[in-house]
Amino acid sequence: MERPKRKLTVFDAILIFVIILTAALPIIFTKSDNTKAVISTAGGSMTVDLAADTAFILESNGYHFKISVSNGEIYVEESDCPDGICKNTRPVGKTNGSIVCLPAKLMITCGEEVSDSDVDAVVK
Amino acid sequence: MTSTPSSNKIKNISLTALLLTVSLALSYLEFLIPVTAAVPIPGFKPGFANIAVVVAYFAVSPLSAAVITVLKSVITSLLFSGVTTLVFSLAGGALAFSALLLLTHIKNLKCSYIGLSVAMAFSHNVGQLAASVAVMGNASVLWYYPALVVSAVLCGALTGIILTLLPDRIYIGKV
Repeated sequence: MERPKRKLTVFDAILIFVIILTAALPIIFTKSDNTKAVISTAGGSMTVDLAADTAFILESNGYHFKISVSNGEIYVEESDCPDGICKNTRPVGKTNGSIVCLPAKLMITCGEEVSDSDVDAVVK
Repeated sequence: MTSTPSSNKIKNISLTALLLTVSLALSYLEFLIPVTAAVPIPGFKPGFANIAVVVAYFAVSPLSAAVITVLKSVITSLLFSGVTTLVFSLAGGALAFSALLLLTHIKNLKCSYIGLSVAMAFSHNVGQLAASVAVMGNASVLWYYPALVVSAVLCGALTGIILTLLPDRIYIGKV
């Protein structure tokens, strides 16, 4: 059996390059075009269709949000909540994820299962 | 001493045992260095124990390397990391060994110790990740994949450099 070379070879360079390229794979795999998003507020939850572009005002826990849907993605355009974190969160829809506003108890979720249970997690 | 088939067999068994001990010592070394404090990836290890596997592969036989891979996983999980990690360790070891088998059996392949080592570290991480997806039943651990790729390239290159620096007599079993 031939032992490996002691000097770097062309094959090494190609191999390492290909391995590094595969690091981008999860981004491709998790790119899932969601057709709907689930918005849960202090008052309850609703489902929004992402196919049509819309914008609407939502109230949750005393705060107001202008939520926009465009190009299959949903995001918070404006809010009067002091945090503003939800406004700075990137749109979800093309990728799975959530937009959360804690003061207003608002959560917009795409592609992940949302449970209404009070239990955070169960250790099996 | 004349080299009879039986003395060869004894030599191979002794070398395998010796290299298994080396791999355990290297695993212990990894266990002592608090790498997870510097690199916050669960299950991250430099993979120095692979050095013993590669040496056994060339100095003794592929079987010897396979034996070391399995026993190293079993013993380190019992001694240091806990039995729950055994399935991850075995999955990683099996894939790393497959990479070693594959790369050394392709004809006229010009591959260096560093390339081999990176390929093994990468397959090891892929095996571990696949095992954790299977155990957790949740694909969200796949988000660790890019970090694991980077760590495989860096750690694989490091062990590859160490393998390159080892003298030839070690690879022909003259220790």
